[in-house]
Amino acid sequence: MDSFLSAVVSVLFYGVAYGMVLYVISVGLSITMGMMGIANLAHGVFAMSGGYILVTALAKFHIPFPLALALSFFLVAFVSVFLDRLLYKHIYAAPELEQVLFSIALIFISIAIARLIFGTLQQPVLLPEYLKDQFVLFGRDFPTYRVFIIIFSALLIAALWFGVENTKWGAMVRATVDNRAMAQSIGINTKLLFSITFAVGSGLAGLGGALGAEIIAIQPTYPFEQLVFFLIVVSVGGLGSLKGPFFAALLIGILDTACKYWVPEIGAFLIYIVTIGILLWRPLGLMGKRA
Amino acid sequence: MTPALQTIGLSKQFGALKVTDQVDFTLAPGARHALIGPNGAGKTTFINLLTGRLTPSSGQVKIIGNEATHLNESQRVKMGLGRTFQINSLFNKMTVLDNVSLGISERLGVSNKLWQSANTFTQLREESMEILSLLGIADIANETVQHLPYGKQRLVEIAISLGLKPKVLLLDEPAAGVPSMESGRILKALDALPKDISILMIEHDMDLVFQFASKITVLVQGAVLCEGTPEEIAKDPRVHQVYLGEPDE
Amino acid sequence: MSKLIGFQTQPRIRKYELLPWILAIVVFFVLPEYLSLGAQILTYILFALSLDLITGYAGIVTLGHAAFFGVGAYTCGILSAKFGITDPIILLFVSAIVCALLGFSTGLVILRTQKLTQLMLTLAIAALCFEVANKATTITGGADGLTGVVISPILGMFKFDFLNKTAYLWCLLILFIFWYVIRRLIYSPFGIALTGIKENKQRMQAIGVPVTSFLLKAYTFAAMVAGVAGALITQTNQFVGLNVIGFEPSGEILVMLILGGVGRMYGAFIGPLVFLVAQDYLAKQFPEYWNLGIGLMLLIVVMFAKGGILGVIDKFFVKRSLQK
Repeated sequence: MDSFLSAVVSVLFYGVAYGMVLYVISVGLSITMGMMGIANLAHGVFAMSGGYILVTALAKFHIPFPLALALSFFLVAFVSVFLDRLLYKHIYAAPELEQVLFSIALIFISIAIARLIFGTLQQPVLLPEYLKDQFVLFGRDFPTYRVFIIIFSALLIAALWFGVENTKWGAMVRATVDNRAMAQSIGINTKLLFSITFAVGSGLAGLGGALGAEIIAIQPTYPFEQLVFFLIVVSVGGLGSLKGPFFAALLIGILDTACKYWVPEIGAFLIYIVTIGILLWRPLGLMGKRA
Repeated sequence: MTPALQTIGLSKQFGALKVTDQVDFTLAPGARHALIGPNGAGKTTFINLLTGRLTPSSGQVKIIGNEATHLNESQRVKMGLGRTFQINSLFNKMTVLDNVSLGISERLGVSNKLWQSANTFTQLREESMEILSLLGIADIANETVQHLPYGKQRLVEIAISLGLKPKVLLLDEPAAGVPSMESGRILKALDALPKDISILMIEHDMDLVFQFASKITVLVQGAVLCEGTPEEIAKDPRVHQVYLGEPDE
Repeated sequence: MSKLIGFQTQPRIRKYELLPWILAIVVFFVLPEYLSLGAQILTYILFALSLDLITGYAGIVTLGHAAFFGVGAYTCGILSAKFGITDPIILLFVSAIVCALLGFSTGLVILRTQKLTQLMLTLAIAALCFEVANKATTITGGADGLTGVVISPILGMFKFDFLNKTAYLWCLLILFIFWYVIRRLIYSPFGIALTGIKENKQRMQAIGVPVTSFLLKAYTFAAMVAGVAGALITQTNQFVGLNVIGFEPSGEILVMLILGGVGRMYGAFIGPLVFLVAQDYLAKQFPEYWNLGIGLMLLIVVMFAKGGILGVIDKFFVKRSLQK
């Protein structure tokens, strides 16, 4: 009994860490998809880029870990502004098929670039000493880095939620997600707002990718392989919702970890079934808004 | 006589907001009936409740005496209900003829034929041309809709709904967006509509309303304010107040 | 050529429509070393046709069409390798039925949802199928693939030879049959209704068309055809690998269709031809640049040449005839 309980604690712990990372990566996608109705499947590219930035900063340039994390946020956010101005603006009003094709194109291009620069192998993450190993809590060993992920993400998420609830930017975002036409007619510059929100969301994806580099391996096929999970988190949580994907991400994280631990033969099968089930019951997601 | 359309206590609420408030409405057979009211009165919502696009919070909808409250849009069309949209909802990349033929094809049960080629169903073309001639736009039959001026598109909008051979027709602001010089064409088209179709029209263009309607219902904040002939409504002080503010403006 | 098919369009077969078949027969005699690639191209053309029906004509965007392709391929392979059913015609039939059922049941699920959720669900279903193929190693062979697939001669007479001559002609025949059926469908009132649904779903509902029911019919049929294509691939290669199922091949077939030109039927012929020939040449030599090239090509098509190769050909001919 004790070892079962121990296993449950382990699964919860690792599952929550994974879920937090999933949320940090996916929240930007939820907001931008809900805001502009764009099917941006290339979101995983931002996460992957953040991961590569971190890994390279640590291994090649020996940049201290906190700075490397910050870099993964800011660099990705910065580049996304260019992508938005140069490329994405062409597809704002385009039909869904074009948006899908456009984002697939971006995925192909970034996979190719990643392969050319970094090769096909998984990138090793050189964690600083103080984040390695475990520490002991209540007589159990917990890997320090996972604890760090949970605490750091929690703080990040709290800051994000606070920001969206209490700042002017947040209010404008909520208004635009709710009803874009109405928001425009009361004078909100939705294009500028979208660019800013897109940058923040992409930066967060980069940060999430960097943070989660130990859990979700950084390799060129990342955007293709992980896309399903990001989309699941967003659609189960509710497109455009801020908090819905959080619960969805935790659910997915814990469920996936539980499956891998107890029934590894079925892989992600259960997650897909659960996703389909939830979407049948609640087509707009757990906390989705009416269109 | 059985009313063409009837609602009994029809209500629709979104949370605490009552968009349609206990509306008892009757459309007489062969009617030329207009629904007016200030912006936000809930006119389009009412139409959507009638067509089945929205489900009511309470109340009933009857089409030609038959219970229709829980039927969906397609089912109500089969009962004889047709509608046009306030903003053109057309098949832009198709020809005018094809736009009208689609509805006829469905009505005749042709649209689920998988094997025969569409052009062998010549009755579709014949009927479409009849409708287009009726509305005075037979000359643009082979034009692609997206290349037409807005006023003509508006007529195509009406033509499509006629293809359904509706017994009841709901026109949602047929003159909306049409430049005032061309609205005469709309009126001409409306006059040409078969007399046995019962028509309910939402409109803001008061000239059109007074020329077209023999009965007017005024809707304010989702509820019926008053009903009567055009002369009665024109004189009613409550209507003046709703539209123009105080009577001595 | 580029106008939408309507109620007045003449359905008779135009001269240029004979080109693909003439070309296919010429290739059989003139390029016997390439029949393996040729059979693959023919199969993917069939696959692309099925996708064009639902995406190009009915307007359903799906990232999971290879679920049906893959299930068709695995059904054929498993029946042959594990159950000893080796008659090619029976195998095609069973794969078709299985995929039709899968298409129907998944269609029921996804066609009631809105755009982005719908897209997501198509992806989830494909990923689910991939996961099953990946994990159920005893029946599917997992990542190593399914070997031991044996296909007996067609009608007892035409053996599947190592030079792929039989396979090529078999694929050509099946493609021809389905091409004809799909062509009739597109020119029928049902086909035009599908176009209407893609143009303006709301209006179709308002004229009384049971939209979901129509879409479901089309989706089930397309799933069945994709399944047949999958079975053909298995019969040609006598092997089933994970590369036929899941998100990646779904994305790939979508790319092939867009490259050729979506919603134009013959785009489904041109796309896979150009893509697979180019892939055969380039991908092995420069794999990273191949992905880069596809990505760039897609970007260019989306931004500047939405009609794909067929669209470009069209513009060229329109210019020529305007100049006359």
